[in-house]
Amino acid sequence: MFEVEDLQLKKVNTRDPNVVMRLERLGSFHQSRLSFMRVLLRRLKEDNWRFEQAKFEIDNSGVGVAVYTARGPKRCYSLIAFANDLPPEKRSDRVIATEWDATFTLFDGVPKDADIKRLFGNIPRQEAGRVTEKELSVSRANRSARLWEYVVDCLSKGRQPDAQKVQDVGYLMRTTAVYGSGKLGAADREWTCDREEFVAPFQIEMLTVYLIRAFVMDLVEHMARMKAPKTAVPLDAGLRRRFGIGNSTGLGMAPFLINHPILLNNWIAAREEALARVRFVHIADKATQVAFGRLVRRAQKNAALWTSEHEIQVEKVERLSNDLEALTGHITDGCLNGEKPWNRLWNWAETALSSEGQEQLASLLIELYPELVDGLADCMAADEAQHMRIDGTMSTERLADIVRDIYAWALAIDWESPGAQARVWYVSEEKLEPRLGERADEDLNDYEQPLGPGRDVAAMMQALEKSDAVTVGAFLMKHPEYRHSVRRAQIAARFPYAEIRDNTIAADMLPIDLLRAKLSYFGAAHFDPRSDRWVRVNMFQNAPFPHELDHMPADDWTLPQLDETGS
Amino acid sequence: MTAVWSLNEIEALSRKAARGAGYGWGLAEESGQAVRWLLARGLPGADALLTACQMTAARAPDSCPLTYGCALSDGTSISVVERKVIAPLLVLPFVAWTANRQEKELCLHWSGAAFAILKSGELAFGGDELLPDVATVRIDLEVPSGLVSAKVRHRAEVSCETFVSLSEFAAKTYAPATQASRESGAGAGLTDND
Repeated sequence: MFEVEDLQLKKVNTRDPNVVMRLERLGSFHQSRLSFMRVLLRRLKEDNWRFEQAKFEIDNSGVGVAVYTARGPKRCYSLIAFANDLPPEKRSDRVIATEWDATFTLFDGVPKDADIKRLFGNIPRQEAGRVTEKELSVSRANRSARLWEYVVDCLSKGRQPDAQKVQDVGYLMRTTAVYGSGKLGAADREWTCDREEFVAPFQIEMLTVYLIRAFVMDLVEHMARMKAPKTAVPLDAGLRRRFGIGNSTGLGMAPFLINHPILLNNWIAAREEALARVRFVHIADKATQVAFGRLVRRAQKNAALWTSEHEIQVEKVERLSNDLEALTGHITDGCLNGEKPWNRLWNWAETALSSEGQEQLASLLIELYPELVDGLADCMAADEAQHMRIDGTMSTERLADIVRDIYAWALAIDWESPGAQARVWYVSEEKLEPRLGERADEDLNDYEQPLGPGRDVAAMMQALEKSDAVTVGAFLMKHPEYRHSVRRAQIAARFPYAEIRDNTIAADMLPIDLLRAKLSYFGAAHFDPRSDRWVRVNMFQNAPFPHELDHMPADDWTLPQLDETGS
Repeated sequence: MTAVWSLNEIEALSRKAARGAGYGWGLAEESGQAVRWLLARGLPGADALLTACQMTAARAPDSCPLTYGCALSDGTSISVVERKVIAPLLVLPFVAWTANRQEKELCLHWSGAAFAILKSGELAFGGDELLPDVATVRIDLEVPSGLVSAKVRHRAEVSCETFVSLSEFAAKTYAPATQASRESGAGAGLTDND
């Protein structure tokens, strides 16, 4: 029989969850060495994966099919891409879309013609289609109309597109969904999670997007050739790498972190452990100090390139730039000499920098020590089912102690006050997607999703205080309505970073904070909110392409290079 | 007609259906896991859940297989070893989780069916009354002879009729669309054409 107490992680020197697990903090996270795109590319290079364009049958209107196969040491996977010629009027509102410029699936192995035929009947239809356990993901993308036409036009005339115009948009296609793990009938994650290449989270989805990027670049060059076979040129390799894949993400992603507390813990814990390890490095030699200075300059350049029209994000980027300037000033006076330089730097940052700057610094410090950090990627997956059982033998006294310890922030909230429960998370009948409503304006209480753990645990605590039950099991016999909260509290007692320690249904809650936290773990950069609940990001921008991995560094692309502008 | 689904699809559907049938979210989560566990062993878990939903087991805690199962797997001491429950197949995953936690073999029986959770954690079963509406179940340590091992599967076979019926319960958790929710709820609504 397991004892919750025995499993409690003894966290020494990692940051306090009450600091890390606040929404404002999570909404300031930056990509790091532990981000899933980077984990993927390091593995592809290390294990010497080979890539081939196995099929490219696209006509001059841009319609057809392409297959890209990735061959690893034990298995291979194929991206099957269906390209479409979408009239502009259909490339509208993503909520009602039923057609896309391109649709994709990652196939387990090498598809036969019959597979491609079967998938042609399903993948372009997305949610209206069905796939099988041979398909690992289902995805779709739309062109950035303004950049696509421009690039095709330039290349067809034998010219390279203007680098600034490329930079302004950053991608030629933007995915609006990348479904994995059993969606639409695809293989469950449990079916593939034992394969080395898929141990880290979201590797299937990241591989899908990485191969989509290769396809999109081949497609744009192909379209230029079709337009003017005699004059068309391919993109210069350096400029080509500046194209990432855009991603447009709405609320659908936001509840994920609340619905997967153990997974969330493992992501955060890995990064916190990495930071703690670096903070306790005894001495930083000269080369490491120089490398750090260069990283800070690259981060500055990255902040300068980070544009957004959203007021909140504009302010955040400004704070980041100011923080990086302060950091630059601070490290010039030899402060990295002496013992535990990073710990001293970190302690300074906690008083001198905003959350933006602190979280950027955390990612930069982690960057310096791959040998201390990269192995932690293997600890980021979670066998959630294993931890779902409630321990009914726990005393109610102990449960109350857990609540007072972990949910003190929730017990301190006046849940009757107007703003405390202003929002309702619900699923719409129309699109079966998560939405966020105003409790006062709409009749949504009956449809509320369990995404306000703070309020629910506070309610459980009230019942617990009135109950004479000695064990949790006895309490739940009388109050089955609190099973969800009891489970969360018991999980949070074992996994320090499992629970977001903020009110996720408050009037002033920003869903984009949840989105940024998740996307930073994916490795997305240039987070650009379009509202408080919808964002665009860029994925794999500046990364080497599959055919370049064998002769280029796989993991030095997330921050812009300095030599490009001579800075 | 029987169709093949991913286990995640059926788990998610079952969780929502249980919620739609009146269970709290906590019990609904366990319903999803229980149905998944059964289907992963080739047993008709989705049909059992449908019976529980249709017979409104959520409002009859004394004969509810999920309430009983939860109490078992929580480790709550229950004096009654025999109990009359709706859709008894749903009790089986909880017996398995209890056996796993106590590191011992446990058997579940009712008239016409018997199941054993073996030391290895594997399931063996026999009988042809897998889906009675109601049965008196007994949990003990006696492994009957003649049971056959269940093969673990990674796909779920569920009839389309059952899927549709569970979807109707699940649909009770969805809020009807309003113009307000269309415009602001999801956050998108701008064109995707730039």
